Amino acid sequence: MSARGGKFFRGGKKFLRPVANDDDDDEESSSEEEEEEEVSTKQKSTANANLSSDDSDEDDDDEDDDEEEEEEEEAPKKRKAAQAEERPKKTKKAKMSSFFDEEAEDDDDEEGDDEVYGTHHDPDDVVRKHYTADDIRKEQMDEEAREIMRQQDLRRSRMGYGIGNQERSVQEMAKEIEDRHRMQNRRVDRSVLDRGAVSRQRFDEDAPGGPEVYTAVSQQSLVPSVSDPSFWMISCSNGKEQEMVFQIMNKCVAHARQGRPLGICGVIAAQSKGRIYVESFSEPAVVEAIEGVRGLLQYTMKLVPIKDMTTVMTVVPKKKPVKKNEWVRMTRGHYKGDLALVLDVRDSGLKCVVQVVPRLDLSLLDLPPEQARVRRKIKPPQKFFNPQEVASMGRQSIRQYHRALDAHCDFFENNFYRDGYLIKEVTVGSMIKPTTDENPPSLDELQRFRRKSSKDDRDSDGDENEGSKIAASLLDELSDLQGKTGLGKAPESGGLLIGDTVEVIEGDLVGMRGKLMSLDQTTVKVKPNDKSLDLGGTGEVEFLASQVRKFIAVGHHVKVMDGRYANETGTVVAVEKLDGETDLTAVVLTDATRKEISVRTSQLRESAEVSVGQNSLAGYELFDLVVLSGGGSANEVGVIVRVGLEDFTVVNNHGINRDVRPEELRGKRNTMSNRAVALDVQGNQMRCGDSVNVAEGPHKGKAATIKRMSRAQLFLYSQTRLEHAGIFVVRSRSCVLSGSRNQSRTGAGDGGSTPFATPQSQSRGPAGGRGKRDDALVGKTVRIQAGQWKGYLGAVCDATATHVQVELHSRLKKVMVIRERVAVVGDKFGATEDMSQNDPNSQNTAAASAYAAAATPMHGGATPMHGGATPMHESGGDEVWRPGAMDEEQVADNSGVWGADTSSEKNTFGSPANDADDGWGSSQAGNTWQPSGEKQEPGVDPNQSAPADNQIAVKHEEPAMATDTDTNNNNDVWFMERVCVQLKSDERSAVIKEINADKTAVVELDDRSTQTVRVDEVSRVNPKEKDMVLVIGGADVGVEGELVCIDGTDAILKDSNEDFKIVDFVLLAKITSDN
Amino acid sequence: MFYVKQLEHEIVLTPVHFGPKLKATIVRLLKEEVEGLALANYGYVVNVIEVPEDQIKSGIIEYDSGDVVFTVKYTALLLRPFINEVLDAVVTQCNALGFFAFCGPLRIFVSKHSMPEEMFNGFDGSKDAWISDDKEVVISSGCGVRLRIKGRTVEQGNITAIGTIKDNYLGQIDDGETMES
Repeated sequence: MSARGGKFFRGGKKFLRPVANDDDDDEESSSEEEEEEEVSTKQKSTANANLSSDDSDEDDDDEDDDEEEEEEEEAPKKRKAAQAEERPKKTKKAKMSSFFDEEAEDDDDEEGDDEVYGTHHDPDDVVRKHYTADDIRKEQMDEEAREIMRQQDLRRSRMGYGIGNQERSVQEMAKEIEDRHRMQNRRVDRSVLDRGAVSRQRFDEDAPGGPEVYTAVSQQSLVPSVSDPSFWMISCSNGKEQEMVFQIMNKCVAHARQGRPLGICGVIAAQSKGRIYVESFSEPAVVEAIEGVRGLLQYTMKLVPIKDMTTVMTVVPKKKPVKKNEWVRMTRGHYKGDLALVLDVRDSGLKCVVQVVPRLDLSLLDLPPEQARVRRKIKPPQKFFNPQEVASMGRQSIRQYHRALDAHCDFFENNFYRDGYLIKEVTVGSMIKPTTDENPPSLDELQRFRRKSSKDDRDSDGDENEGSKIAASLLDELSDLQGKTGLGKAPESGGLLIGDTVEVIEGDLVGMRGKLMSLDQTTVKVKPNDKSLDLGGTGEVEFLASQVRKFIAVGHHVKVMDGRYANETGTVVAVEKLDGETDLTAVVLTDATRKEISVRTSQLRESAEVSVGQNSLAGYELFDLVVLSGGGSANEVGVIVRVGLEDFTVVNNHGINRDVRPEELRGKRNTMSNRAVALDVQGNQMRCGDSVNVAEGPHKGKAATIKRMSRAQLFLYSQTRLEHAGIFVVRSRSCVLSGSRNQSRTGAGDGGSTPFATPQSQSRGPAGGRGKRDDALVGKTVRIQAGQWKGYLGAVCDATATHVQVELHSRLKKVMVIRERVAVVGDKFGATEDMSQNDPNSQNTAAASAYAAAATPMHGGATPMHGGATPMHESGGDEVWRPGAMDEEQVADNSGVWGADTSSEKNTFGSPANDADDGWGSSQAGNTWQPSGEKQEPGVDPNQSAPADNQIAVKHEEPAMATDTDTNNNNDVWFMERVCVQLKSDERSAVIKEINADKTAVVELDDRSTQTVRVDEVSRVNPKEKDMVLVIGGADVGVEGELVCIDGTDAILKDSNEDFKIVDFVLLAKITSDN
Repeated sequence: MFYVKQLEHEIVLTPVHFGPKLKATIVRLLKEEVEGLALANYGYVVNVIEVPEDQIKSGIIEYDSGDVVFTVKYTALLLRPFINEVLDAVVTQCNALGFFAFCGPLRIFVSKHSMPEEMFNGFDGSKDAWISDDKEVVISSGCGVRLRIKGRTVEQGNITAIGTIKDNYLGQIDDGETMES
């Protein structure tokens, strides 16, 4: 192998020596020669790859030539040389070689083509050397002992041990080896030259696969310098490079024979196309060398700059050459990526004939050309060629001789087909590439490649196509391999681990269950679970491993240890025995995906661990709130509900799921979500982790936990939902906060539900009684009562036991104020001056008495705690004060004029029972639907508004509404300006123009006359399609729009932003479109 | 199964609560904290029946917080699912893999593998119900079923169970409409 690339150099070298001088002193000349050798061998290794495509026949010829020449060359030299000098050198050489010789012979076994070594030294030599060294001792020994020793010595010498006077040469060897590794200095040092033959040997040795480990430094020393021969580049026609090199070489030989060698060092056909490089010290020598060589363009001769010389010789890591019967992949056209089998390699590896499953689109033949052109771009499916089929299409495939295959093939549309396969001659490199280790032929591909139905194939005559056979055999091999690895692990222990619960399946104790205590190759020790079982006092029973199997019971929580579902965890829902299986199969309901998987019990292990499946990819995890890019809206966010190997499934804020790749995600918003607070339909604050009930929409009635939130969208998680990992999306306003956990946690001032909170709610004293931090104050709007900021309004952003931090509304500033000096005037949505007076909802007499104190200075705002706790009072579950609702109730219960001092009315205010009936915590009372913005329009005596109430109340469809009417609560939310109404007295239609403070309104009739009416004197007009409407309830309350259509109880309206909304029809009030 | 057991619980009180009603506060807090909780070994605490006030010993002050820890003994009514116990439960949700049923606070999942053969393929997605092949049995949300507990998973503060209705006398016992009567 190694000799291949270099051999002509070697030959050439001898003759091309620039300073060749045969008549020189021998020592000199031989060293010269050695130097040449050194250089050439080095090039040899680089040139090797370039020329590796030489035909092996040629190689052999060359080799022979070389040797002859070498012999010829050396013979006269030796003759001339002084015998005395020559001999020791020879001996040394022989000694040294004895080592290499053995090695070389070993090599020969593998390489098979380097007879050179064998011919140089016969093995007898070696033996002789060894025992002559021990001559004296040998005399005294008998034959037997001698024989033994000889063998021993031989062995030692083989192993590289030196004995006797060989020590020295061994040291030399060691030094040389050292040199070899250190070095490869181009300038051969003298000592090496002295042992010319050795070094030659050595390099011959090196080349096949010897140490190629160069350090960077030693590499650097190899870089050509000015003192080295230069390269001249000469152009030739493409593909003729090697030919040119051979020609020049022959010319060299010829010239050398004539005694006037060319002064060049070498000729190289490197990887560049259409170029050869001549190495020489002098330009004229190059000119002479290429003169008269046909095909070389002499005028293109150009010196290669020194720094580019390495580039010339750079070996691109050559793809390994394509060989016959190898699998390759097509790289172009419709066949791109297809598996192909090399049938023949031609043009010294430049081209090859491959066999591939055709992708023929026969239907193309019938199409008109312009359609066919379009169709041709589509990759047709793989399908075997069938001449009959072609014939039935009205086309004829002809039998033609395929030169490369030496066989007759079907010829159709300029392509050869054999046994249904396409036979194609392609260029190696551009059309095909070898299948790499990373991308080996897959089982699937091989199966497709294999042609099974050879019956109806007239070519096959029963026997399978060769390529198909190869595919089949590889398939078998692969499946064997898989079978082995599959079986390899399982039976040896049945997946048993110490600590497992096992069941005895054989023997006297069949059915016994116990804990696996120890485990060796074949036996296991089991401690029975049943303590009452008397086993002769041992407590442990020994079984064969085959007599027990892992016991997994229904209901166990398990982890899959092995196989396809490795690392999944879940609960076993069934254990069954499948036909033909010795093992039991467990059906596991997985924790992460809520799917059922079937797994062998041997692959399971009891475990409390809960895996989230594939839980992270590219830094994103299951249930992360992520920002999605692309897809229309800029603010699209979603929650990851599945983490795949390469992509995620995300449920976006519209509840639509889609698959996205990690690149499409623009970061997580988990922290934002955790900080976010949303309001439910009753105005309760909701945070992540709270449980809610869905009050409306498609998910109505479901209970779930808030997993993530984004603005008003809640990503709810329900364990009982299977799809999307239990995640679904609901608007926050469609939910009702549920569960006591939340309320008791945040309701430090919640005097309504538990007596526990009474210390605060009773306002026993300011901060004195405050044990916990009162977070209820945070977020409230307060008025500062004293100090520098007296009179300012602000929102509380933080609260300590003694101070609150107030963010002023009017200034961009946060101030710390003593707790006592702030008075709550509203929630975070704004201030309401009436707040402190509107505190009607204390639920019992205790609270009522506290309220009665409202008029006292204590209540007069000096006790912030009271104000802070107020919202809780009213509903026992509602911690945010809602102006609308508040007014409503107040009006309802006071039966007085709204806005008046209500303190005198307190005792008449709804009894505790009344409150309880309302069921605030669990169901939405109708009045909670009211938009807060409408609170300014009461004005009608609520006692007289019952009819209107009923009308609305019924339409709310909420059970709680009944209580609304009971309490004579009015619900005239629609009673506002611009709303179209009908006078109950004469059924004339009118439009409300103005609302008065006393809950009367000025209406304008059709005839433009105006009239003052009370709310119960008019009724709402049901809108019709195309009317302008106002939404008076539900999630979209306050929205105005055009009613597009009515569908049952739902109405679709188009709002001013051209968005369509679906609203309950009863929540619409007709308004006038003008003004 | 319901059973009564005496248990212990630690209550941490802040000094605010110290006063004449201390013990009442402790009792109240205990109920708040414990009721509804699932104790790993004992099951759900359905109700705190009795807290003998004389057994509330003096508490121990914690250095760092100033809070006081009381160890309270109480008698509680517990609900604990036992393996192979037969329970009546109310179906709350059906899906393609089975159905969920609740027995009080306990959630039980019955897989389709744990249903009689004639129901194995009987999921009707449009009705969200499991229907036997002869259409006789319809298990849908709201139904009462009698089931046997096969497995139990204890999580933090929660217990879930796996049940089966594949046995004699198990299965639907109530179609949900007559539940109230």
